[in-house]
Amino acid sequence: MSPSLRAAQPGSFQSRLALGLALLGLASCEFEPSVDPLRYELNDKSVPALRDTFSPARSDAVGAQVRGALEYLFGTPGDPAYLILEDWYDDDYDPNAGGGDEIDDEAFDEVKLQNLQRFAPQLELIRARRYAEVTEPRSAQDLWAIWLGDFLPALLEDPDAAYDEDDDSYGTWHEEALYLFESWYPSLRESADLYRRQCLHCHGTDGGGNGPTAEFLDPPPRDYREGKFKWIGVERNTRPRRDDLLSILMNGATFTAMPSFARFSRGELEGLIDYVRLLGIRGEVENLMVLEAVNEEYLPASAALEIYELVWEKWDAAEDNVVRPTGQLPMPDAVTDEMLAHGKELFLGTVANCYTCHGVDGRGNGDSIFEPDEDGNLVIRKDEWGNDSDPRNFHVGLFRGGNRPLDIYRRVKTGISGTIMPAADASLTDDDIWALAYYVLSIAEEHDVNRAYERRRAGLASADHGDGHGADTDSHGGSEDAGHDGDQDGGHEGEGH
Amino acid sequence: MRILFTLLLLVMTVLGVWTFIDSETFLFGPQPEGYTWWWPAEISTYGEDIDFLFYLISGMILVFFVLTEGLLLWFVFKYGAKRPDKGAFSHGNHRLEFLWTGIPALLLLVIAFSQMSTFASIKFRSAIEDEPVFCDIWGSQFDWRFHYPGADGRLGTVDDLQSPFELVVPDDQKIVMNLRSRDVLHSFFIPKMRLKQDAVPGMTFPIWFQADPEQVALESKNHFDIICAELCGWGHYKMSGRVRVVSRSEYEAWLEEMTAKQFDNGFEAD
Repeated sequence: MSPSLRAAQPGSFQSRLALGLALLGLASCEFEPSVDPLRYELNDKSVPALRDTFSPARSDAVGAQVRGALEYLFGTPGDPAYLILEDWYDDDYDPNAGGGDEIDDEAFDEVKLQNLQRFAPQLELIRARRYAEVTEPRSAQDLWAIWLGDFLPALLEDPDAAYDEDDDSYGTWHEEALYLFESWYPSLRESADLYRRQCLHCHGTDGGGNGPTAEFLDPPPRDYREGKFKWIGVERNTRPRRDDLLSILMNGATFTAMPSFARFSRGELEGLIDYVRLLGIRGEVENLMVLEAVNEEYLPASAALEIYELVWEKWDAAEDNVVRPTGQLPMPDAVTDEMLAHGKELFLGTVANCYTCHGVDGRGNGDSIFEPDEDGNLVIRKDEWGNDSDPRNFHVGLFRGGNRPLDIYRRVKTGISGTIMPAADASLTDDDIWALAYYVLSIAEEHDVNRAYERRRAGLASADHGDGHGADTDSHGGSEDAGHDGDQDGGHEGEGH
Repeated sequence: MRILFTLLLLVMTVLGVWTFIDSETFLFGPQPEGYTWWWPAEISTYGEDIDFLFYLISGMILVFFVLTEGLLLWFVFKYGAKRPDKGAFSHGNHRLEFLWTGIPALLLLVIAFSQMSTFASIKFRSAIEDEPVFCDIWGSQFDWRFHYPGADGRLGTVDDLQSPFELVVPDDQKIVMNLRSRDVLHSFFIPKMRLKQDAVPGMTFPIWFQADPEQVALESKNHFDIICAELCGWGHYKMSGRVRVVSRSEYEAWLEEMTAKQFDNGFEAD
């Protein structure tokens, strides 16, 4: 009998291998995805709110009613679709159609331009009239269904036949096939599919910022369901514009887990915006419906539609809430020492009150982020999502909502939604705020410890190093800075002169 | 058992050699345009030197891989069975030991000397000492960000421009960049340029490449992948970027566009 045919003995190599594999199998079983990507759940506040108000059986019934209403208004993750309001029929407005109704011509031109790249392999085959070889593009299953259902059979029969014999405005099937891909704009279903691949693992099925990877992240991902977004160009706590969402998709949020999604085409990004808007509107409608049910002790049938219209109005009003400076933005070369000194004065003053949270030297270590709890111990104040407040440390020059003067202007002017960062005092003029913005930017310029290498290089390479900005180093650092950054700053000052 | 292990080793050897010989398709049939299981064609000025070293070392490895695997296979097959008699004891063979130490040592010397000038010209700071810094690269979980000096030509000042994801470079100059990480180890990798460098938190690595316009012109597109080549966390797979090689005038137009965006006064919706 050869050794390999013997039954495995306890302690033999084979039995250990089998045991190891079995353990590995068990370990992998422990991971169960906590979310169902194809089913919207009631959110984590709705369920307790209903439980507190109603008996268990009644709370389940009202919960089911809310869920049913939401599905009626927004569809399911596998097939999201807005309910069309009567007014919209009259105005010929269809948020489900996407494209022309939602975005302006300029954006749609960009979508078309980038479709040429996105569908380059498909377009090339169509141009070469090799229709049967065209392969399915990613996240475009509705487009693909039209292609397989209508276009492919017609093209294989006669590509040069008229697409519509009764209407001259259409070309041949061949021409229309090219146009089909060139003018693609994602349906909500296609965008939901892309969302599930790219966004769901952090932001969750219903946009609650509760996907499977969310627990690893600090700061945690945005919860769309309140409709509150931080990095926006509109008034505090109002709903974002499409541009705001596009900007965060293109730029990401520096030093958070939100990366840039610039590798996707404009069409895909516009589609993601469509779907994030749907999730935002849906979440807020859910919150308000539960609130209504709790207040009225039942959910009136008419309430769902009223709430739906109300929330839509909020999102539609975004363009009216844009924060527009009136004073001219000074370019960096026009920034004077007086302006920075003015910014510093405001920063440390009691009107703007920046220093109370951001610290006297801008390290984000002010006292006002603390508050006493019930026992009188100091704890860090929370934002509306229950996370510790984390005022920006300007010494590292990282601004999550963008480092443009305009971005900082907006943060100062209207504050940050959902956080303890308040809107600026009304007595501050635009010039004041620009001065503050440049002062804040200049703090990083002076103190970012990561820039020692450039300073050394600049010190060796150019004689004019240290002019202008270098001159006011001592004016705001104070002795504490010298203690912290002594090596870096001292080094560059020394070598520069 | 003996046959099983022999077959396993044989399959490994064949697959290993296959990757060398048939790298374009390798088992899975034709890949989408621009993707292979092998290096994509290089487009940088020093790409050829890197490729030469790569093929030199890979060739050496291929020879020794086949040799050692072949021997291993043969020994497993020939002497795999248990035998009742005792094995012979040997004190070794001086000549043999001299050979198997000497030959690899010589080959190592060949590798060491052939890479020296290439390594120095690409990695040493002296190679780029007099060049201005083109941009900063910041790696953080999970994206690449590129900071360009603004109008004042200096990095780290308020007029710096930030470009997330996309590195736009003119094709007529050495692109010297300071590579940094904000959090954990990353590795900045442009396969087409044959540039790869680890980013270490707290350290600054000056790195450089220069696109070869003639080779770029042969490509079907002018933008190429940047990836992170060091497992940096759960989102490592999505840490990507893009380098776009353009002419000097296009680059300047892009810079102007970026500047306008950076200093948008917000009068109109941006």
